Amino acid sequence: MDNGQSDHLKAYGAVYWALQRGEPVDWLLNFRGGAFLAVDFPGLSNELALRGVVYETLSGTATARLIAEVESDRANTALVRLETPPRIAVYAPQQTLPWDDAVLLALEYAEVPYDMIYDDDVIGGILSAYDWLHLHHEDFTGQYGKFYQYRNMPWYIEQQRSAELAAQRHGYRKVSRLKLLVAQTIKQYVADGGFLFAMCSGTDTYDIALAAHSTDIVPSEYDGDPIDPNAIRELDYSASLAFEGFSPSFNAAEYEHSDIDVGPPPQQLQNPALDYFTMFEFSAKWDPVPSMLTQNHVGTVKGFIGQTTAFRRHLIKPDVVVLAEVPQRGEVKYLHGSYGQGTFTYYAGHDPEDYQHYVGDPPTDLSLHQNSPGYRLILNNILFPAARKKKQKT
Amino acid sequence: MRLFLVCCLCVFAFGDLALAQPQRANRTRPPTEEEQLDGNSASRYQLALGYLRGMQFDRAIVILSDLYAEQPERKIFFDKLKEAYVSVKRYDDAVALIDDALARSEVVQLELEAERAQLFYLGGDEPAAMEAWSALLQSAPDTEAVYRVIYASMLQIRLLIQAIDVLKQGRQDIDNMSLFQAELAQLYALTGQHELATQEHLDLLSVNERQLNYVRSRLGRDLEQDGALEAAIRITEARVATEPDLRQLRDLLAWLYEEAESFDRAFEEIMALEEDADSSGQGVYQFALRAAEAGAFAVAGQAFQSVLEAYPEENISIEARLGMADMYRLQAEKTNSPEQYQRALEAYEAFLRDFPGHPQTPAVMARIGALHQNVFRDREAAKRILSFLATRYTNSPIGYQARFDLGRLAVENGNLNEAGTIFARLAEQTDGELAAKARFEEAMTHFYAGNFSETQSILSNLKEDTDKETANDAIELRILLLENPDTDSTNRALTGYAQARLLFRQQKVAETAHVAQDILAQWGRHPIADDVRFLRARALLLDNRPDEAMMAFGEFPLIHPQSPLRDRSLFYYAEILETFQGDAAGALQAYTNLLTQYPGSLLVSEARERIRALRSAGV
Repeated sequence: MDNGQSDHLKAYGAVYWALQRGEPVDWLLNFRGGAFLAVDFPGLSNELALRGVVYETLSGTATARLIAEVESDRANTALVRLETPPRIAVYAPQQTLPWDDAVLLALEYAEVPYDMIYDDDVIGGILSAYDWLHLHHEDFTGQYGKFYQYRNMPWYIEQQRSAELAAQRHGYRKVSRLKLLVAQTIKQYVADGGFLFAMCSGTDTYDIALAAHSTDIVPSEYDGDPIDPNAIRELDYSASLAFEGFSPSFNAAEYEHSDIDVGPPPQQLQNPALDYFTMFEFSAKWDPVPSMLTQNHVGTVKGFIGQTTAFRRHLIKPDVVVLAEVPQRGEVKYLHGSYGQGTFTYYAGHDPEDYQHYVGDPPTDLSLHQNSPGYRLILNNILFPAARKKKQKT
Repeated sequence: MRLFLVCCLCVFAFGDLALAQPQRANRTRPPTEEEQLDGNSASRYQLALGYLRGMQFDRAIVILSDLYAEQPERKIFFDKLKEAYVSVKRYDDAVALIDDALARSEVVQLELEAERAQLFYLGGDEPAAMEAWSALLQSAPDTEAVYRVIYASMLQIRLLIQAIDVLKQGRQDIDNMSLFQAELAQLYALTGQHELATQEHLDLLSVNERQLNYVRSRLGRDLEQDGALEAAIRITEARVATEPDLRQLRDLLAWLYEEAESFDRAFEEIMALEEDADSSGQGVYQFALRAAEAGAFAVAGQAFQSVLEAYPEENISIEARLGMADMYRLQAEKTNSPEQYQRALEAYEAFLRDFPGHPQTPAVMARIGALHQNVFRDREAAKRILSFLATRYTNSPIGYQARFDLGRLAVENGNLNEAGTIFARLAEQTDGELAAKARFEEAMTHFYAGNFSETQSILSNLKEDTDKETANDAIELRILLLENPDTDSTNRALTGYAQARLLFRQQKVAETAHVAQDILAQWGRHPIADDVRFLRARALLLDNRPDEAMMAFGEFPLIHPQSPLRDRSLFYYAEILETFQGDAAGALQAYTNLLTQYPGSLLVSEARERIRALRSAGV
């Protein structure tokens, strides 16, 4: 999975395909950009060729030598066995919205199966059927993404109506209360051992909603009544997963939920060539989880903007592991933490291959970005739960 | 009425005087309530406003409460104090304030009463809210304004279903079912009840045909929602059935059918409208154009025909004739049908014959020329028309395009010098895309003639901003010349290949295959041999010799394992197996070989698509 790989993204799908057939795959962390090793079972080479994934065939001796090299103490490499294909759920409405979801694009392109679930399913207890849950451009604060300027658009009207109906179905007068219940149910899912991966506004709005469980931070433009004047004081940061000490934005017209997000870079840096983030390197043997999440064929990844572009470092809880940061700017792009028996990973930005994705823009064609390092970070997350059954050293 | 008349007379009588003295002092605006405040009150009020802006509501409330207690008749104190209470969710205090204001008021204040109910709701006391709204309704059940005020207050807090009930009750109580149509339509659309929303829009339209554009714009916005278009059609159809004489309903229905791309049904409505009125045929003609553009050729043809039959002596029938010819051409391009092309040609020629001085004549001639040149390969006919256009419209876009096409025609006729001259002049006299294309074609004429240094020279001067297709062709040709230097100064192998390419362009595929075979026989080890062999294989395929073509493509990668054309050759081989030989399993294997042997090929994604299609077909 180094630069010699022709299609990094399809490789993840091929691994998933092998796992589905009961064939274990070894993930060679930090070895040639996080290569995969599998026994050459019938059909594998054809499938790899069909997916356009470059592979090398090794003899038994060469394989033994390779494994010994990877497991050697001399190198920062390790072998992690992947055994079970994770059951994947993507939290997203059935309604077609005028923006795309990078994870759905990645799963579709890599040909990894998944289910779409939403509020009723989550509240109904469906999460226990899944190992991996993804949240993308969702607004858990009940402010419909703060797209107030689009309030007369059919998709906004439909989104608002569906959300209000769902709230009513569950006995709530406000959408924000329904979303809080969903957020808390997801949090319990993580506590019980689930893997949560969130991107863009699915990250900060999730934490904001959890922290605002006993107050009202939603302006009247969205829920008909004003915010609680004591909202800041009543925020409970102990309830959120990754962030603390943040302040929500109470301006309904501001396309921003809180100061967790640093916002787009300064104008002079809003250039895909200048805007980038770097990943930290972890000990593959002692920190296999962060290592798995940061496997890549490059150390530096080009930046991308979203409603949540990057996290303010000083608002991140101390027990959260920073996986990638924007150098020199105190901004974190990618983080990981544990809660209960499970883990959560937050990845800021909307679409790794569309520097600034606007409402109504066409979806990214991933066949043009087969080696996307930014998308690899997403797909690292779907394989990481496959390694759960192996006992880790940490 | 009497007062109105008196006022009008006053304006009339003093109009001149007012014009003579426009800046009289007594025309300045009266002071606002804020400006009427005494100094002390004004300062305190400004301080309270500052606190409100700084979100220090408690401090603002203290000041505003005092001001209101001192001067309860001042509306600004009342409004700001109420706003401050609501901002800190002190709904009970806000209600008490309103109660106080209502008690002081001598007239009924509908807005305040409704707001009072709204505050109960926001405070969580839903029964009290409903009771307050209900009491307000009962206070004046036959007053339209009461219902509107309650509807507005409910809409603010998104009690959409309740607002619908209120307006429906208003209709019954006032006994006027045409009230609140726009409001109810909006509420029904917001709640996803598209049938009812359409019903309201239709009611509105039934009584006022001039609302058609308004209804279209409102409905158009809602139609994007799931199921809205189907519902709108269903309801409008039913209404048209019961009120067939209302043109505006049929007009709306036709528009809805078009939105649903149901042009057949739209045409029926358009025709019904046409029959019912003294129309000029414009509606049917415009519909025909839209239908043809959307690919609904059959119904577009019927529409054009009906215009021709109904208005044989009007100008619109001339437009319909041209529209019909264009439609045949569009249809031919879509189906690649020779009969349709012939029909289009005949229609254009008939148009020229019947309307010789029509302003569209040059455009129609250009279309005829293009058909002769590109479809029917009738070079004589094409040349006649293109020459006329190039001469008559020398310095116009039509004239330039005709000259470019004449150049192409000269190439196809083998007159390379003539073609080169045409392209060179055109490139100098024009700019932009056409100039770049002409420059490239000039290079090609030199290439066909075996003048490779001239070809290189022209290609290297091609500007970077040429269109994508021309730029790609230029790069391909430049690389070909760079990679295939001849082994002697006569350039015989390359010259032979250039001649074969010219034959191929002239559609002489059998000769192309023959010449290519000769080149291979003489210079089989020349670097150009792979290009020659590939060209031969393509010529065999076009010459309807699939067996030989398959063999040529199949052996290509074996003979030229380093050629950049080997993956394309393998792809052609697989395609022939699949389409001509019906050997799906062999094709599957060939596509798979392409993936494994040439994983970096540009054809990989197409090969994958074919493999998946074959697999899903059970191969």
